[in-house]
Amino acid sequence: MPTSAAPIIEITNLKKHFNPPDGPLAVNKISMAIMAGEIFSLLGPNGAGKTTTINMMCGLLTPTEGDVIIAGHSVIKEPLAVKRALGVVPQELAIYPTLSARQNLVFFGKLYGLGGSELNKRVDEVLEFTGLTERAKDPIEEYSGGMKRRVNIGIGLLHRPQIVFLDEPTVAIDPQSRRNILDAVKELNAQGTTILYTTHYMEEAQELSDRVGIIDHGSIIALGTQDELMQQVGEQDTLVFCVPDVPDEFIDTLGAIQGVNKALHVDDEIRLLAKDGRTVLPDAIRLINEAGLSLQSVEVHEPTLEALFLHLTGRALRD
Amino acid sequence: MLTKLLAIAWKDIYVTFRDRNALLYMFAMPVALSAIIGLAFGTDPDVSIDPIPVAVANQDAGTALPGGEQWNLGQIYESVFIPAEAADPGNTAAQVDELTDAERTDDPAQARDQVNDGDLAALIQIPADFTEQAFQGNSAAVSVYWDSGRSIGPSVVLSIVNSVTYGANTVLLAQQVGPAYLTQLGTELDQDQSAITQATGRVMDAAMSVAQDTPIRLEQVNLQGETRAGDALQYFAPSMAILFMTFTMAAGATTILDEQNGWTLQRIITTPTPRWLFMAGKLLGTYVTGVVQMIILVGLTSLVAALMGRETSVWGDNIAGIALLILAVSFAATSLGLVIAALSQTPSQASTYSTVALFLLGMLGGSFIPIENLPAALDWLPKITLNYWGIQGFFDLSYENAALSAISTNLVVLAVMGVVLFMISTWRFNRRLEI
Repeated sequence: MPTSAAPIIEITNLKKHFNPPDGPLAVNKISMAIMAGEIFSLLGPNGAGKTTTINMMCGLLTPTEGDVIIAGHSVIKEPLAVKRALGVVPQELAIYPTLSARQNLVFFGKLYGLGGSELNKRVDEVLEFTGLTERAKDPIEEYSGGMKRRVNIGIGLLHRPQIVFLDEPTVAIDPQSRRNILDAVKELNAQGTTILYTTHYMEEAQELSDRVGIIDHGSIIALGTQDELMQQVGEQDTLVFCVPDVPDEFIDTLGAIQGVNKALHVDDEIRLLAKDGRTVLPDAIRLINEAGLSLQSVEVHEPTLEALFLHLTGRALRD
Repeated sequence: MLTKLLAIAWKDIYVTFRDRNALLYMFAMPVALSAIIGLAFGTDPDVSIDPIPVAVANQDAGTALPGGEQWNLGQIYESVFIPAEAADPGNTAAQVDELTDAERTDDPAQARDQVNDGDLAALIQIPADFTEQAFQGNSAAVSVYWDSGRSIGPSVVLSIVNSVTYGANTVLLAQQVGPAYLTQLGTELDQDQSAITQATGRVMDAAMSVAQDTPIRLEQVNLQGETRAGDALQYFAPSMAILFMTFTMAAGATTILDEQNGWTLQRIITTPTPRWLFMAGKLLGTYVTGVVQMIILVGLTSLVAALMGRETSVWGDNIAGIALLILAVSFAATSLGLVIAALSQTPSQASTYSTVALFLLGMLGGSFIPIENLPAALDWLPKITLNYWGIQGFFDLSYENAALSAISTNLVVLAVMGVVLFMISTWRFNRRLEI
């Protein structure tokens, strides 16, 4: 979907400090703009501040400081006007399990101000969009996890919102359902909807996004198109070694290899950031063998958002 | 706004009435318990209630009438409650004697203490100058001290005293107006004074014979009439209905916490729906559920009572009174449920709080056992519960055939409880709806 130069969301010095002064500073003066018609991904590890940011934008949390203007309305001063422009898909399955998909959609449709024939039409369209027409009358509790996710998403689309917030919509679902959701997001965007997508899956952000904001410890540490972000990390490869039971001190040994910029231990994986991965590879394998460790697989990745995050924070997105 | 309000309310009602476990709890359990208790204690309409312990302190010194005859009106009251040994079993005094366990006392102060301690239902005290003041046309009062913690006894005693007083006043009226009128008439007709005196004497004697011979009837009390029969089902049907309805209301209000846990509350807040509207919808849904539950329980317990051989309604015939009490008690219970939910952090915590609080309130309010015999020092305790006001109201309607005005206090207290508790819950929820 071609994006507009006009921002549809403007975030200014947005801050959330829970129980100050001793409570956690979840979001620390974020400022950024999201353009009409784009898919903007907010990428960051768990606890980075993604959901807190979205919750302030959709009126669930009151900002400690700052404001968000959405479709020309202030979240603080005109919350109901903002909510009319928004469709929110929370990370949790926010649906009533004993009601059917149709009953859930009708209920939330009424809360979005729909009624009569328009409501029925929109419910039918959303059921078709989510592929649930055949099972529309079954109670949600009889659905698979993927089907529940689709209902969860469908509710946020009922009133044809200008903007849809999708907060980690693919958490804990099977690959096929994940594929369906990503395709649905692209289709929705192709129809003109602006998407704000939060995820900690680098691949999803890379596949979907026109622009990406990387968030860590409540601050935006990088923002731009994928090309712009890749320029920040430079032409670095990521080498991923699958090696169980690695002693932490061995990571320093690998980090000392000439050409390695950063070495990291994540679960059973060792990750090396290097200008030229293929040059570093033989030395790394040799050291692993000499240490008597069991090397199970090796992958060499081209520059990615994961590498950028590693580059900026020294940590992996899964940390 | 109205569509959203009704959507939130209807969703809750729909979910509740499709939950088989909830239905079992809402209807089967209270009906079964009422029936079991009814069977255990019996539902025979002729079952008598325990005699009401009453003391009569007749200090009336009496007075002499112009004809020289000595009169003591206080003895009328005394003889109604404490009949002569050879009283005709069919007369009023004998009927009252079956209802009461009255004793004469010369120490009204001690008797008042006994009332305060709950040992006596009431003390009837007639002052020393009672007859003298009455015959002089001055105000003369009989004092009745009663134990407000009892539900039935004092009202029976008050009814009897009222009836006696009404009869006595009629006689006094005749005694005072009749002779005066005859004297004036005789003077106007130039009758000699001795003739006038004789005529007034005869009128006064006639009036006195009315006081002596005409039994003071108990139409207002009518304790042995068929419609006045009291039984366990009559008490426990409303008490169980109210108890289980309060649990339904607490469970209904607790769904706010369930919605918060399940994130549907947050999702609703992200729609263009004000938070107060969400709260109002929850309140409406829970309230309607409670009202429907009470109406169905009235029907079911009436059916069970009929199957058990009861010929008259367990709930009485005052449909307007029953309806208003259902509305009032459901409102108070809904607000109480909201307070419990507002004070809880999680659904399981709310469940624990409500179980403890509602059983405690049920116990204090008389849902499990009648609370007539609580010590005097604890008389006030039942009155802080909605169960008390609801049960007493329903019992008055069925047992006393009370008019709407007689349960107005119950209605007002329940309404005030509902408003106050709702304000507390709203205040608490406003503080925690930032999720």
